[in-house]
Amino acid sequence: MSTFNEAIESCGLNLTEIGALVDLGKSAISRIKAETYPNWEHLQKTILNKLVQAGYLSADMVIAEPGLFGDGPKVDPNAFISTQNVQAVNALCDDLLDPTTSLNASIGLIVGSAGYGKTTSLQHYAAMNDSVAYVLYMEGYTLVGMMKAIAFELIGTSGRTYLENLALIDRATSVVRKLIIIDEADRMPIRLLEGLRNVNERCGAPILLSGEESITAKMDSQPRLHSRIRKPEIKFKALNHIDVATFYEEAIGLVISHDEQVCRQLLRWANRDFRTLVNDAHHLCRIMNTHGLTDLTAEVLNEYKPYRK
Amino acid sequence: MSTSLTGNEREAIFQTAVLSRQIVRFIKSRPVVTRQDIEKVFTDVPRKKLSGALRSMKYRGAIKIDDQGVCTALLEITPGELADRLWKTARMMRRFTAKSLAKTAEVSPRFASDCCVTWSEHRFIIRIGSDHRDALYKMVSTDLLRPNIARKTRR
Repeated sequence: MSTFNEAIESCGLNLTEIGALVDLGKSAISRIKAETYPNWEHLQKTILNKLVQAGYLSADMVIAEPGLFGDGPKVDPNAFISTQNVQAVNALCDDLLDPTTSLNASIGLIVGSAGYGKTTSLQHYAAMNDSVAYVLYMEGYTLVGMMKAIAFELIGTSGRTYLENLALIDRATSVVRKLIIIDEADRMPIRLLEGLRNVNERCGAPILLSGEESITAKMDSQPRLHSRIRKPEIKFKALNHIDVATFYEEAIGLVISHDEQVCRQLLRWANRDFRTLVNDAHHLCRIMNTHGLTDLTAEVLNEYKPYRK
Repeated sequence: MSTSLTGNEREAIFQTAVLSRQIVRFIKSRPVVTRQDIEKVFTDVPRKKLSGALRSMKYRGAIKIDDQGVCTALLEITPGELADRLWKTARMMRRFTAKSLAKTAEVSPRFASDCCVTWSEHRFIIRIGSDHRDALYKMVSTDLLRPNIARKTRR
C-alpha cells in the first residue's frame, strides 16, 4: 500500500472531509487514491500537506514540492525593505515620540521628490505605532478643516470651531505624546503652517511635515518656523548601493554587502529604479536556482548580462 | 487642563475599545507609569473594575507591577493588535490590495486577505477592481476604530 493511502487512513477523516480541504468531492478523492484522477501525483502531495497543516498528520509527512526553478533563493514580494531613507525616517519619528526628549524644536521635516517613497515609509511607521496620527493634506483645507482632521485622528471626534478643535487636540495629547504626521505639506500655505506651529507649542505635540523641496523654502521664510525644525532634516535620496545590498539581504537572504562591485553593477542596471531592481532580482534568483548556486558573485552577473534586455 | 477623558475619547486615543489593551498601550507610551498614573487617566472606569482588570492582566502575565507600584508591559504584541494595525493602515492607504496592506502593516498576506474578505462582506471596504490578480479594495467606513467582528478564516 502506498504512503498516501496509509496517511489518509491514519488521519481519521472520511473522503468527503478530505475532499473539503482541497475543494473536491469524495469520488475525486477516491480516484486520486486509486491513482486514476488527472494530475493525481500533484493532488496527493497537496492533500498530504493540507492534512499536516490542519494537524491531522505529523510534520514528517510533508512532501516538499520543488518549484519550477528549484528551491534556492527566492524574492519575498512582501518584505518591507528598510532602506537608508526608511531608517532615517524611523529614527527621526522615534526621537520625536520619545517622551524623554525635549519639545523645544519638535517639528520634523522630510523632503524629497515624488516617487522616492516618503508616503510609504511614513504610512509604515504610522501603522506600526499607535501614538502616530497620519493626516494627508488636501487642497482646499482651511485652518479649521485642518484642525478638524487632526482632532478626529487623535481623539475620534471634532469640533466646529478652531478653538474647540484645539482644545480636543490638547486633551488627546495631554495623556500620551502623539506624533502628528502631515503628508504633502509642501502645498500648505504659510497660514496653515503657522497654525500647526501653534498646535505644536500649545499642545506639546511633535509634528512631522513631509513634502517636496518647496516646503524648505516656506519654512525658511519664517524665522519662528525655521528655528523649530528638529535636526536632522531628512532629504530623501535616490537608491544607492547600500540599499541594493539591504534589499538582497532582507528580501532574498543573500548577503552581497561585502562585494561592492556586485552592488554597484546591480545599481547601474536598476538605473536607481526600485522596480527594475526587483525584476532583476527575480531573474537572477531563477538563474541561480537553475544552476544550483548559492552566492551572487560578479561571475553570475556576467553570465546573466547577455540575457538582460 | 483636565485630563479626565470619556470612554469614547480613551478608545480613540489608545486606538482600541478593550480596557486591558488601553492600559498596556498607556504603560508602553511612558517611561515610568505607576498605578496612580493609571487611576488618574482612567477616571471614568469604576475603581473596582480597574483593579480587577489590573489584577487579571498581572495574573495573565501581560503586565508586571512591582512593590513601588511601577507597571511594566510584558507582552510585545497584545491580542488584536495586528488587526488594529491593519485597520489603521487601510484607513491611511484608502485604496489597497491585501498584499500591499500586508506589506505596509508587516503582517502575513494570509491574515490581511482574511481581514479584507471579512470587512468586505460587512461593507466596511468595497471591492473596486483588480490589481493584476489581486482584488483592489477601497475603504468606505469612516470609523476610527476597527469594528469588532469575527474574522472569517479559510480552512
